Amino acid sequence: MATTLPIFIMVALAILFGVLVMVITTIIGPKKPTPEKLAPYECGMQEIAAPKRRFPVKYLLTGMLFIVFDIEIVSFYPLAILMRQLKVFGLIELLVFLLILMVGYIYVWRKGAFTWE
Amino acid sequence: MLLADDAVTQLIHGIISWQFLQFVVTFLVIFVFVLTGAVILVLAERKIMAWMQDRLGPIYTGPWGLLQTVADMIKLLLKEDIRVADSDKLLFLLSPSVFIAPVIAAFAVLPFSPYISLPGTGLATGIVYYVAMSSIDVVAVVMAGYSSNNKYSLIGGLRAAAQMISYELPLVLALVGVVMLTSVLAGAPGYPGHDSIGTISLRQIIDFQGVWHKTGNPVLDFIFEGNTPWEWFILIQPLMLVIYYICGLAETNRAPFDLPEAESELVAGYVTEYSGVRWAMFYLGEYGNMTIVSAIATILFLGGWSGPGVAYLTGLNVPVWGLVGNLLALVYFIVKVYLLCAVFIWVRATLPRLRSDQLMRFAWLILIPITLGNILLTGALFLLISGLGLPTWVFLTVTGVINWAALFGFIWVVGRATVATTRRAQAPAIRARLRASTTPALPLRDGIPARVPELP
Repeated sequence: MATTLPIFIMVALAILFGVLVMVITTIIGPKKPTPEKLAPYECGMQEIAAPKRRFPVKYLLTGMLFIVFDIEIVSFYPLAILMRQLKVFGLIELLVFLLILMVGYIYVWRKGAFTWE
Repeated sequence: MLLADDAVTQLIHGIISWQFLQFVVTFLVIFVFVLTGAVILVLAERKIMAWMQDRLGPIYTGPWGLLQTVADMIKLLLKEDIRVADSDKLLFLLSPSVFIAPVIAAFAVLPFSPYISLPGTGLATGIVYYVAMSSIDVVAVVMAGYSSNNKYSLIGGLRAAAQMISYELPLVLALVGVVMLTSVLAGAPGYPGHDSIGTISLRQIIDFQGVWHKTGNPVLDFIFEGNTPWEWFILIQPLMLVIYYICGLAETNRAPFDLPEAESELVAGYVTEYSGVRWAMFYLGEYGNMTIVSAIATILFLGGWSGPGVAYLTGLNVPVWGLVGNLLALVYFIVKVYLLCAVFIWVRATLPRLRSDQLMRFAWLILIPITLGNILLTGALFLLISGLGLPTWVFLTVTGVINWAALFGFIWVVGRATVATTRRAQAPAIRARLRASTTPALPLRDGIPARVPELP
């Protein structure tokens, strides 16, 4: 516990810095809000439609793909660290793992998840 | 009473211990590095871009315009903090903090010199810690885009999120190659490590790139101890450095991957509605990210703080020379980091922005298969060469040669792919112009004119 303490202190200080700057910015600086100033930026035009609208499902799909692939990729690290010890078993393990990954990858690719527009 | 006394003595011992001093020194170096780094980089970017575009850049504030960013910072501090109407207040106010905090926290694992790095074994998880911290930024970007009540912010935030998570995968995979190399080299004669276990600690990866047997010749020892450029991982896995660097460009939303803040279509992307210090936090975070990407690339591929004299001077066990050696290491490290940052700026001045379909296809269809292939190749080569009973240097040479060949192949493939997609995208427009013009038709290749007709 004591050996990981410096990192925790560092993270705490970083968060503190973020919060502190935000507090300072609310204290200093002028405050003269007008309705025009607070309106969302629209290149000087009147806003036609509210911005909270539906957006392409592609973004959600990319996010879901990322979660799947990211979890699988993190499991490469233990394998990479122990490569010298595992020898042939490690390589076979890697091949099997990649094969399973590739099945999903090619399926997603053929379904057109990587094609935008 | 006795217990309290004990706790107080322990606390005092903890405070005046050498480890605490090391922590304070490292902490100060990190904070000064983050804060001045952004100021220096903004100025350097403006000056270098100006030089490349044959302009002068900032010249009026201070000598040669050196104080320009300081003036900008003071201006930003005194600006009004505008909270846009109908925004999601909590998310809107928090997102700059969420953006800046992980950037500063990620600096914690960087070893600046043999002495200037956080004490303790928390550093043992270096690469994974860095990856975890760098992925928190995505949350802040989505928060900013979603809460701003602005179309440009929303689209910019979504684009940024999609881009950052897509490029995170090849970034992590490119680093696996280095970890595999350390595993293969661990325990081999001349290399650190024991029990044939690799490492993800940044500190130890630097040690893996400096193998020099003491010869007794003071001049040679002074130059090469802990500093053997022919063992740097850039020579063994140059393709991984290039891919890591490309992903770093995309992660920090820098040109040519600056679609989220494409000023010609999205105003400023997810920072459109921010002003004053909150806006400055986003930019501080961006430049901090840039520094971190360069620093990690330096440590993993360019030998970190190694340079002539560092290991020799710190190995003498004389406090004064140890101090000089550490300062020397800090200088080497910072010079390497800023050289890589200069490449960021150079790339920005050189390359045009990508289209979003090219962007996604490049990450998923080119970078991920290449990095996966590299992992497989490194493993297979290691087994093959150790199976034949050949020494480690044969493995390093073969891997290096194959990787350099793959690098040039990669550049060729990307060049071809860019030209092909561009031709396909421009074909309808060219055909329409051909039909409209009265000039005689040019010879066609695959239905596309081989040469674009000149305008009258």
